[in-house]
Amino acid sequence: MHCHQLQQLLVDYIDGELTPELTRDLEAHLKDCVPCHDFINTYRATIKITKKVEPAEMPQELKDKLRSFIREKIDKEKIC
Amino acid sequence: MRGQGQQQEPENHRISSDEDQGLLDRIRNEKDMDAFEELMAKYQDKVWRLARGITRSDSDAEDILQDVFLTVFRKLETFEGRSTFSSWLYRIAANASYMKLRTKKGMQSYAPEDIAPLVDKSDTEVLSEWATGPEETLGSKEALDVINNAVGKLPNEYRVVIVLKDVEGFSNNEVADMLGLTVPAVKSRLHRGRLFLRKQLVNFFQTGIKGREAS
Repeated sequence: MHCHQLQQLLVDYIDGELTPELTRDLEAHLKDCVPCHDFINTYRATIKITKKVEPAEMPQELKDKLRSFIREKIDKEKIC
Repeated sequence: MRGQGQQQEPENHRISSDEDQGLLDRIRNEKDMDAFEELMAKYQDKVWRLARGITRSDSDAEDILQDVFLTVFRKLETFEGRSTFSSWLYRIAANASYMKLRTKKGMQSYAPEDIAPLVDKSDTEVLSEWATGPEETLGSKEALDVINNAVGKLPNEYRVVIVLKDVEGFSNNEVADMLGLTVPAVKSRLHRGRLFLRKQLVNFFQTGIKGREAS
């Protein structure tokens, strides 16, 4: 396997969706290619950090507002 | 069969469809608003987070949230149950968020073609320890700020995929279904988006390491 082929397979590899044969080839390449090995580590780490992006909490005030908005709209539609 | 690169699939969006079915029946048969509010209470956080993650705007996320639940109420009769209610709802939410982005073209910082040449392995030869270092390095506030800003700078078509897949944990098939894309198109956008984010992190960590070396 060449370095550029590894790039094309990364998404499936990370998701564990490569065939066993391709997984073996890719991992054999990683053992011999330090830049690719390091690259994949930074790629994985990027996904890991992205998952840690703090989910914004929906404010209670907004929940109340949504409830009133929907009630009002639906009541109006019922009248019409 | 899955290989060793297998990543555990997050379960945070897989919610009991039986429980939803009971609520849906009450809404349809009895026009029960309490049941609709229960359904809304169950999903509003996730819809809001998804909309906010994609649009990066509280006010846009609020508009989307209102539109989504109103649409759901109006179209409930057309929901045939071929997918779970949650998939249907998230599809509406993802679509509404994506449409909102497309009407606000001025906000994106990079065009897709600007982030194409990102595969540069020379940047990992010496300075990749951060990626395998202690958890605190990856989870530091500075690193999270970098990634948060970088997600905001992604071209819309990449950001929506990154948020749905890497932040919210939907599968590639689900993302493709939500956005009306092919699975290969989702994977391609995901990869390019990740390359862009990776580049920002590499720059951040390299600057930090060089700064420490200089002092």
